[in-house]
Amino acid sequence: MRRILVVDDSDTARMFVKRCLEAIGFNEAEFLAAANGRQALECLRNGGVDLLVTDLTMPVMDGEELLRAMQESRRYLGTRIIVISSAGNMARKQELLALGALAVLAKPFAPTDLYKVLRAFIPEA
Amino acid sequence: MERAVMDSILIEVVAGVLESLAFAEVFAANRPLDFSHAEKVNSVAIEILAPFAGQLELHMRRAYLCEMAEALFTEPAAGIGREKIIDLLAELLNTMAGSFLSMVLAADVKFRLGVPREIDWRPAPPGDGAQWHFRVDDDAAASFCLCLSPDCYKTLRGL
Repeated sequence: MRRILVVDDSDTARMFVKRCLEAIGFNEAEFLAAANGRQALECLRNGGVDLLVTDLTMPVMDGEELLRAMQESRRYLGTRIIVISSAGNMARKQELLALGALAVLAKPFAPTDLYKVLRAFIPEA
Repeated sequence: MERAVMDSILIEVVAGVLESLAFAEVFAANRPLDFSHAEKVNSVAIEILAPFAGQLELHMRRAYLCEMAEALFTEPAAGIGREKIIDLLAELLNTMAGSFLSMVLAADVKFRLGVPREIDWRPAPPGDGAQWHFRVDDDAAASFCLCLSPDCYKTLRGL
């Protein structure tokens, strides 16, 4: 897991996700940041993103639109996606999983919650 | 939903968010947040877009907000910048709002939130809205206050 793209319009949220990932052993990964889905797609086009961690509610292009765009293009089939959102209710979770997310994690979460998700869905992480 | 039930859910939500993001212990405050000096308070709001309309507001003493920002960003508040400090407050509210709605709505009900934005402090929500005041750690005075708009409060009371 060398390149991790964190997508959130909040600096605080991106910083928190990065700190959590570093705390669970990803301290040697390269972190990329995007403030919305459109910026994330630009990063993805450059290639090499192993894991994408995205929020849902963002201006310009939200997380669900990003997942749809990724699913439609089929260029990013190898990119593992984790959705982290405050709007993490179960009804929305099923739709997000159908759009290609491996897991949906509701805020607030602790580093150990993220660790469990990554271990469960990305064993080699 | 009875007010006491809503109170206990909100306290659980707020305590969980502050513990997770800022490692702070939160309690319900006996004394309300002192808003006599509006310049010492920062405020953000988030709209509930579905399944009903409403708004949540978070008002926090700037001194405590800066303290939290310093701990989170590991640099002095003066160097962090106002935008990032408001972003922290907005992220707190965003997380509280999502967590709160997840707990009060049935699991199959979808909800949608707007993007949090900074607002000016208002002394009290108009009409029949509700406020909850919280203190952090051993502080005697309230450090922050969460408000539900009247339409949102009415809807939740009717659930």
